[in-house]
Amino acid sequence: MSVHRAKSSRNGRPQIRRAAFYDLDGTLVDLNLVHITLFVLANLGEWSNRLSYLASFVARAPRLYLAEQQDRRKLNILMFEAFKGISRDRLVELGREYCERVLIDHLYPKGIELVEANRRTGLEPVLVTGSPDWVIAPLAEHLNIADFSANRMAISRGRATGRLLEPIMATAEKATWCEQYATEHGMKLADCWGYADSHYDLPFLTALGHPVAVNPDKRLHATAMSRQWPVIHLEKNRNNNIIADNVRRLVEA
Amino acid sequence: MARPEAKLKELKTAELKHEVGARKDLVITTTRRSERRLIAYGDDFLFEKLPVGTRVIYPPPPLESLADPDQAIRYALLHPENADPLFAQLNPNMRVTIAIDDISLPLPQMRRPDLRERLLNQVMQTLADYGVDDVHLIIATSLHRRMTEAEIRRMVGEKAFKQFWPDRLYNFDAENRAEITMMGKTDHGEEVWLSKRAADSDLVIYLNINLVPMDGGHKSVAVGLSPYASLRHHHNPTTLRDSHSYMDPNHSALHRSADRMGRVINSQLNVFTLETAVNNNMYGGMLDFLAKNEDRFTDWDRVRLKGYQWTMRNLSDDLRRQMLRNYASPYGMTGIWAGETEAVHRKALAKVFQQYAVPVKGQADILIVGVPFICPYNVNSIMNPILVQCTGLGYLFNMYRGKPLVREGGTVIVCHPLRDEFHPEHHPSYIEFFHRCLAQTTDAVELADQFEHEFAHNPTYIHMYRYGNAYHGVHPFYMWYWGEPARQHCGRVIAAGCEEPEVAARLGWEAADSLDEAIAMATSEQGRSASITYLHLPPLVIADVE
Repeated sequence: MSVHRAKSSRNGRPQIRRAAFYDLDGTLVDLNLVHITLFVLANLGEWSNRLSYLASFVARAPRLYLAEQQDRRKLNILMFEAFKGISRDRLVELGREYCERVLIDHLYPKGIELVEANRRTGLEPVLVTGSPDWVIAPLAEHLNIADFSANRMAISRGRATGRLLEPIMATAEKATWCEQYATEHGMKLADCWGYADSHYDLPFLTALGHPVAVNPDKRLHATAMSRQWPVIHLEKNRNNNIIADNVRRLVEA
Repeated sequence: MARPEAKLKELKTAELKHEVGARKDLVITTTRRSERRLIAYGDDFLFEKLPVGTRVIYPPPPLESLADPDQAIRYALLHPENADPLFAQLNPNMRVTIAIDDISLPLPQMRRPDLRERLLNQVMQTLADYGVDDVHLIIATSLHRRMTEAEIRRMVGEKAFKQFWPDRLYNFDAENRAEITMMGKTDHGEEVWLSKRAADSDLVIYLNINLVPMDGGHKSVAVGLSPYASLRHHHNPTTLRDSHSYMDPNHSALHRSADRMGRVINSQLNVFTLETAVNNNMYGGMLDFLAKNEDRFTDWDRVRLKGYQWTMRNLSDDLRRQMLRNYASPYGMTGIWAGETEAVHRKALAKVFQQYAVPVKGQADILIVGVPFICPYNVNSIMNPILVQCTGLGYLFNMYRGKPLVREGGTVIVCHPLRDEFHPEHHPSYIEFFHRCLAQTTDAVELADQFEHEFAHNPTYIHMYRYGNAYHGVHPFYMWYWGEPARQHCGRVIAAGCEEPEVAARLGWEAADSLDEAIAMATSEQGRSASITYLHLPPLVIADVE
């Protein structure tokens, strides 16, 4: 059994345990799940293999677009189908490579400053994202974030089946996960902060006492203004260019 | 044309008394035949009959403005107070920082050219003539929100904007630790922090607009270019409770603290202050009836009032706000002085009081004030409940010298719709302050003890302050403290015409549907013979209460 001893704050009162939950794509980085998928597919084995995966992904694009318009959960399910048949070891390796070579460079510098500043004020950082766990694990390690929730793939005989394990981290599931996390860690969600960029994250944001819209899309911005939530804008690292990066990587490969 | 120095001559005390004496008709008492009175009510105006015997205090008419402001500025630069002329202090190798008041004044914004543009053009010309090119222009925002590019362009004018923006013309950033430096401590132990650029400069020039006597003096540099670490020494409940009033710097602990800090700064830096005074010509043209005594209203005035009210009530919230924000006042400059901070400020203060002071005999049991659509902290934004509190109890209650207009234990009636609406990008921490902190206590000392540190260091609010256009996280606390002398002094505050009684309750106020109801509530406690005073503004007026 572990007992958490309440620390004393500056004014002598017991310090409340609090967390800051961060969405990742669009919130802390200027990339999204599509980019991860393309990176992985473009870096698989031989050229022929890559091309067949990429062609399959392109063929799936209209369905992905429609899913994006309708339901983020559906989008995640469809997107992860693209990884079917890839070995777990390869995914973990590519996840680490993607994190080190791409993701870290695309973190919003001010976003990371914000994470660290929040940490200094007693807000434990937690990542809550729809990205795959084999990408988030090395990123969390890099950012010194102990806890995260990401999408997990079903693996059979060492290879991805293309199916996602429940809970699928999108919309309401994020809120449910945060609630469980807060209960397990003796926190109240009313004391916690949440940062996200998309209107699909509304259930997640509304579950928290201090929701913040980061680089919000049009619908989230309208909601944030109407509900009087703070809105912050993070700027990209100007040295980064996704298209140039991808071209360079393909040439290098 | 009259020589500028003739216009600029300092008003002697006897003359000031004469001026003020001539304004006795600015205080009238209503009779049964009296006309209804205009009362500011957010975006709108109430037009209400006040009880017989109500004392109404009107603002003095605008002083005549200087005929040639540019010439007056040049004269001031050549004939400074207790300092060498600006040109005599310059050499080509020096580093100069020009600090400028932000758009929290004048209110509403002034017609172009803004006074700061005029000052800046003259100062820049002098600097250029003497080959000084290491010049930075800093908007002295302190913990106010960053001004937008468009706002800065409008304020400083095209010439300065094109030459300096954005590398050498920027908003002060009180949270950029690398750009803040400590200048020392006052003999009261107050830490004095300042913009590093200013501290490293051979010459700091401050361009000020004195709208009210609270402005200017040491407060300009010691507050405008300072971070939270400095401001917390005077923006706190204890200091503000000892300020009687904010409009009377000689009796304000806030100003005494700022003066101590300013002296520490001036002992180490060469500060050349330019202070200007403006008249109270707030509403010109079609809106000039707003400053008139209603008993002297013509039919044309009534038509314009009806037209204004009809327009305001039929426009959407956004359009109405847009229209009001775009209004620019025809303020005129009534004086300018340059040189050593304290000498300059004394002269500017005399001129400002000459414009606003009205002698008033005795205090009242009930004070009625109307809160308009604007205050220093909601320019191009929304007047939220915390700012209504700050304007009503902080600014309007403090529009006095000597004694407050309302007796101790008396009632203040604040006319405003009081809606639960905030601007999330400008006032994010106000929202949490209102919904979380005020829900627990309205006691300023408890608020300071429990929450101020957390808000002052909240990373999200700091981010929004530094990179967005938000007021600093601690700012709502200051707005709340601002009302502290009034809360300590008054027995009751009633919000008249309050649309959301929960909002009034959250502020610790009572709510009344109408002004009549508010007066009835007040007199039920104070008695039917209670004396009532209505402070008729805008434009501004300061009561010299005997």
